Amino acid sequence: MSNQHYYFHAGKGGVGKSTTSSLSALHLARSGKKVLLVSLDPAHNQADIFDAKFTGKPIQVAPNLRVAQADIDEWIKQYLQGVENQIRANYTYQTAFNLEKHLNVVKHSPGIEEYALLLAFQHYRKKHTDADVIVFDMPPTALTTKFFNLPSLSLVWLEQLLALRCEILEKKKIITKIQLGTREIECDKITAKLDQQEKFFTELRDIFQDSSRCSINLVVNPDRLSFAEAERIDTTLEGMGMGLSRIIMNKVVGSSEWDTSSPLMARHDVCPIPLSPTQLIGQPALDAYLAMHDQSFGFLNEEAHES
Amino acid sequence: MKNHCKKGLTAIKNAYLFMDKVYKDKATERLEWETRELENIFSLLTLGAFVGMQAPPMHISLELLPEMEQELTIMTNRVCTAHDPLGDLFSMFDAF
Repeated sequence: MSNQHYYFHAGKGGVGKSTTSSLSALHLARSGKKVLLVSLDPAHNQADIFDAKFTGKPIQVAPNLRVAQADIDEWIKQYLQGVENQIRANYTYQTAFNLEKHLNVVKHSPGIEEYALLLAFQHYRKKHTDADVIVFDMPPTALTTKFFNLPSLSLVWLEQLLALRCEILEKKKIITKIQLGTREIECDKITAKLDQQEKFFTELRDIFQDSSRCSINLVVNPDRLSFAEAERIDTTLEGMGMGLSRIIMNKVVGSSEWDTSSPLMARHDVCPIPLSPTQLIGQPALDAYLAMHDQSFGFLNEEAHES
Repeated sequence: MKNHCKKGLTAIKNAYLFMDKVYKDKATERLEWETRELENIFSLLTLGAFVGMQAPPMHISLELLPEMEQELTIMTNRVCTAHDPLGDLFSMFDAF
């Protein structure tokens, strides 16, 4: 699994994240890699692009290519159900009484959606270790940046909470020593949970910051609005210690022109993807497009081979 | 005579155990109060969202929630003592 490579296709809504991710996945599968394409976008365009019905369980759509569609609402529901079950098992009846009502409100809390996305990401990478490459079709910009930022943000809190918890435990140990004459090593369940969370987020942060394991492809169109947002995403990711791997310039036609003075051009490689004259719907249309423009996706081969 | 000696020794032993307990309690009383306060801070930090305070990301609180019944009880009790802060302060001075 440590050799598995992750591609994230991010960008503004409507620029073609789903199309470029499906074409990239198909290109890699044709080159002999075992590819898993996972849609984390609530819009779930992969079903329309492949003209097939997908669920959370990967379905084979072409040789070496499987596609899955993560239902984030279902992930949130399952996660909260797990918390509720644990509370009911650990708490006395009175404390856990009426819990369901409170957790129903919690599902709309900020941060829960991106946490569910991280759980889905971990699930696919841990469960499908046979895949050489996993391509993630990401949700629009705001949610994607929150997704990438969540591990670092959570680690800041976890460090503080762990330090406070250690101080409490140390004092408790002194009290036990004075009272009972022994310095018992207490197994604190809360510290164990904090440690577990710290491990989970450290692993994710390290993956996101490691360009040899993870490539963030920013999809843009040759227009000003798309560029302006792309520059903001680039700055945000840089602030998180992550770097874009490249800019995928989608829907390029012969007359397309873009702002070459943009800082994005200087900092990253730009990979133009030609606009398809026909609608890219269904496997035959995707195959036909790749037969003509396979070389446009050549940038993927190097990274996948390096991994 | 033998019985008297035995009774005397038991009384001395009991007195010693009593004094030992008193001094141990005295020694740890302040520490226990400090620990309780730290636990309150920890509860407020992790479960503060439920009472409208600045809180860590919701998933951290939710992950810890199943193990924090005791802390929830402490926090609820603190809400009760919050109405009588002077009483709580003076009970702390009793330790000295």
